[in-house]
Parts: sequence; C-alpha cells; structure tokens
Amino acid sequence: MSAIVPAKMGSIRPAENHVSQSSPPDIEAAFDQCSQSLYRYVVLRTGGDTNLADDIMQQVWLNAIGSDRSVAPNEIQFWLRRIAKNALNAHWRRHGRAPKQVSTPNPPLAAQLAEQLETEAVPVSLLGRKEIQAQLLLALTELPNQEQDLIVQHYFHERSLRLIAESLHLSERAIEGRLYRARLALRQALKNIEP
Amino acid sequence: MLTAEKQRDTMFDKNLRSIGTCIELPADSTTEQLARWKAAPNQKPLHGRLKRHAARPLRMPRYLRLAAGFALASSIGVVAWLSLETGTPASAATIFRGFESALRQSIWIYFEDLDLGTVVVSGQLYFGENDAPEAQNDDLLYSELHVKLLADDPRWADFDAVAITYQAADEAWSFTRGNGIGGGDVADLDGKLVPWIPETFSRSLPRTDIHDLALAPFGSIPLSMSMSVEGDTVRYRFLAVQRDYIASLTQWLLDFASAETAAQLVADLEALAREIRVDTNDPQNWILTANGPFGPTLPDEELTIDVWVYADPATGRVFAWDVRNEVSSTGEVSKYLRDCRAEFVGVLREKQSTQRLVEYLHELAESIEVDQSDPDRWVLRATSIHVPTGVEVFAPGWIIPENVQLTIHYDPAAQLVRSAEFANVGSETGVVRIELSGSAIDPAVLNNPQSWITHRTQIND
Repeated sequence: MSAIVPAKMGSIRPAENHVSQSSPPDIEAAFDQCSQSLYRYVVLRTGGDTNLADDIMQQVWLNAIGSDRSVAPNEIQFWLRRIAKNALNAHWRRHGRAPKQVSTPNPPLAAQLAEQLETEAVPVSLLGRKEIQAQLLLALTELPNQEQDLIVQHYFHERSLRLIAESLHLSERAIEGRLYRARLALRQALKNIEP
Repeated sequence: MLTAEKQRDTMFDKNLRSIGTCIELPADSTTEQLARWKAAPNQKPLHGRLKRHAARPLRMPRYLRLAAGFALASSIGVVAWLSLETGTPASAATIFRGFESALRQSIWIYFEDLDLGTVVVSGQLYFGENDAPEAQNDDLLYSELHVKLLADDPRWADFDAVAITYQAADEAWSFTRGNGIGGGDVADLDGKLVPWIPETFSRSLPRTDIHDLALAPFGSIPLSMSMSVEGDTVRYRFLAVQRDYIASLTQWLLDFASAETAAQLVADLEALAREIRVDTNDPQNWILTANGPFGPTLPDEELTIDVWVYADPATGRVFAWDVRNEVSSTGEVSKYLRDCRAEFVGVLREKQSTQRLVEYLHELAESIEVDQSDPDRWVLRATSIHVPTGVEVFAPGWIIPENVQLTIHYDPAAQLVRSAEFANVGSETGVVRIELSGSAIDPAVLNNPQSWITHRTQIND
C-alpha cells in the first residue's frame, strides 16, 4: 500500500532531504512514490496479467535509470508514465494485438459516462457494466499520482476524509479541497480520454 | 443555492461513491514487488572487450530485419507467458539483462552437430580477456572447428578436418589436420578409404577477424572433391554457401562477446523471441525458453545468368562455353552470389559430354536458341537460367533460423546467467551452447600447440 505523501498537488516531491533544487531528480524516489499508481496503470492495460505487468514495471525502471534525459522534478511522474506507456506499446507491437480482455479507451462512451455521472444518479446496474467500469478506470489511472491516490482511498477503499487527513498531517478542509480538484480532474480525464 | 458546477460535482461525488463499491481495482503492488522491479541488472554501457574485432557489422542485417518483421507478424495471437509455479514472479527481462551482463566476462561457445547437409560442424570458441601484463589489453581468442565432410559412398570414411587458431597480443598460431593418416593421396583408415591433407602448424597469422581465421585453413579444401578407387567414386562437398554460413555463425557468436554489439544482440534476441516461458520450479535455476528466428542465415537473392555454348557443327563437340553475366556491385550479398555462380559453373564443368551439358541447360533455361549463322561454329544461347542461391538443392532444410530455440539458465540468488543454448541451429541436431561462468582460463593452456603437433606435422614458422 503506497502512502499518500503531503506533496504539492500535481507534482512529485523529489526527495528534498537529499536532493537540492538544482540536482537532477531522484528517479528512485519518484519511482517509489509513483509505483502504486504506475502499477495500477500497467495492470489495467495488460488485462489484469500481473506477471506481464511485473515485467513491464521492471522495464520501466530499467528504462528510467538508463536514460540520460534531464527531467524536471515536477515532470518526472508524467515522464515515468510515458515510459510505461511506451513499454506497453512496445510489448503489444512485439507480441501482436492486445487481447480482448485488455481495456481500451472508448472516447464517445467515456464522454457520455462523464455527462451522466455529472447530471443524474446513475443506476448501479449501469455502473456494474464492465465496459463502463473500464472507461472509468482508464481515466482514473491517467490522473497524476496524488489525485489518483486520493480518489482510490476515499471512494474505492472508503477511507474517510478524517483518516486521510490524519495520515497526511493535513486538515480535513485541505483534503476536501484536494478531493474536489481530483474529481474535477477525473471528469476532465473521462471527457478527454484518448483512443 | 448551488452553482451548476457545484451541482455537477455533487452528483459526480454521489455516483463515485456508488461505483466505488461495485468496481474492482487492480490489486496493489507490494514492497517485495517494488524491490524486485529495481533488482534488475543495470544496463550501463559495456566496456572494454574485443574492440579490435567489433567494427564489423552484423553480416546479414537485411535478412535480420526481415526476420524481425516475420517475428512480429507471426507473433500476433501468440501470448507470451511466465510460469509461476513456485509463486515467485519470474522475469524474462531480468534474465535477458542478466545474459547481457554475463557476456562481459570470458565465454566459451560450443558447437555440436551443426548438420549442413554434406558437412557437419562441431567445435569450440573461447573469447576472453588476456590478463597478462604484457598483453596490453588485447583479447584472447581460441577457435577449434571440426568440419566433417560426409562421404556419399560407404566404402569411404567421412573426411574429418580440424582447424585450430589461437590469437593473443604476443602469440598466434594455427593448426590444420584431417583424419587421413598416410602420405599419399588416399589413406586407409579403419578399413575405409579417406582423403589425406597435410598436417600443418603455422606460427604466422594475419591480424584479421577471428571468424576469417577460423575458416582460413579450410580454404585449402576444394568446394568439391571427387575420388575414385577401383571404380568406386566418392564425392565430398564443402560448398561456398556452407562456408559462408559457418563464417556468418561465427561472426554472430563473436558479436555476443563484443563490447560494442553484445547489448544490441541481446536486445534483438528479446525482440525476436516468441512464446517466452520462464520456469521457476528450481529456485536456484530459472530456465527461460523462447522460440525465434535467431541466428544468421543467407540472403534469399535471385541470380539469373545466360550461358553460351560453342560447338562444332560437324562433330557436335563443345569446344567452349561461357557465362555471359557477371555479378555486379560489391558487398556481402554480391560475394555470396559470386560464390553461387562459381558453384554453378562447377556443376556445368562436371557435365563432361555435350549431350549432358545441353540437356542440363534445357532443363534450367527459360529459352534456348541455336545460332547457326557461322558454318564453322554454332552457338547455343541458353538464357535466363535461374541459379539456385539458397541451399535447397545442396542441402534442403538447413540454415532456416525460424525454429531455433533459446534456453537460458539463470541463478536468481546470484543474479547470474550461467549458460545459454540455441537448439535447432542449422538443422534439428544443431546446438550452440554459450557457457557464461566467467571462469578464468590459463592462457598457457590454450597457447600450447604441443598437444596437437605430431611427427607428421609440417611446421611453418
């Protein structure tokens, strides 16, 4: 279980204890911090094949530490996500088309879902449909690490605002604000999901 | 009064609470997984070894690209999987990276029973660093190739030729021997007849690529040898395409030992691999198996030539013939085509009568015309003759790398690849094994030709 760390919304705190602002970002610290959301991202895009996801995650790590590219600290989690995306694409290119159980984005369906979730109480029977859930999870796993973790903790693990606030040493009010921005980001992600 | 935006967010929040209870998220990763992901060997640039030999590019890049395309195309619908029978997630990527790391050490490569139709190749290669102070960081190379030319007559023994080359900074030698034991043209060995070649030891070697060196002693063996005793004729064939394949294979294996090419070669293996499987049943020996179009092959090029035959109208006797086309341009493929052309010319030369030559050309040529305008010399023009450039005529079924199987043995505790093996190389019996123990070998052991030299050895200093 990854901890939600008190970092600036939408960015990774690159191990400030031992890395100065002018130093290159600590890839290992960022990888550790993002590993949960990255893994979620990868597992979902391998159709739940955790063995394959393990290999992809290892590839992400190898590619990240083997890269000579300079990455700004506030960009590093998106950079890791791109590496994961490339590793997945490379895998499916190498081994043929992704199998049917792998969720694929459906922009019209995702946009329609976003509209419904914003405007009406969607019946559980509809929310239980796999293609609906798939679009929501695809959008969720596109979110930045912090926002994704907040939504997972609160809505999927049913942790209260108070518990989350305590674990992050923040006020409930602050968590409420962050959660609002996370929901907003998820709505946008659903509407802008890319095929 | 709630704003429209607030109303949307509130409804979204409510729906999320509902959906959160009925949706299944992917399982969280564990700290053990995180540690394992980061335990993969680092892919830092390789340094040091075999720089002198590494400049030569892979011999058949065009075909390998085709092979890569074939692998991608044929892998659609094939799912790579990893077995987890011990509960430990295996990682093909880890093993490939371990393989790459292990190649930085000294390696032994063994050939066994590479059946090329009319010849069977075995042998061993050693690539290592020379630790001697005077070695000036030069590499130690040892090659021992056995090429057995198969007799097509049971009265004759197979002709088993061995060529050994040793190369270090301050020492180089080669040795060649056949299994014939006499001093004449033909010797009797175990009741069978066998050709004889001089046994030679040479201490002066050109500074060239090891794969050329390894094959150089075989250059004295003709492409085709026919011998006859009391009416029984035997034929041994060691064709240019076969030599070319051995050279390509040696070069390919040399690239595994090269600092500049090893990483790319392992990456190619990983990219070409199909049906990857990692068996973790033995916690001390994970076994990765994969199928793929691994290894070199020869280009599938077309070669068309015209042959003109000059005959005496009165007797029908052929007094000359020539091949009108030359293989143009340069490069490996052209060299290969020239070899094919030379082999074809050799076949034509074996047609000792006019009738057999003309019949043979009739079979192969798309058109035949006879020019009788000169009453003293008729000219038969056989055009568009397709010359076999593959090996289907000489040795069907070999040098097809699609079915080569790769096996890698990995020690997860030590994070070391112990060995790798390619099966189905050249044919179903062919095996190439790479030992990666990294064990040092005393150069003095290799640099000791005394075990080979006999009283019959002709020594050339």
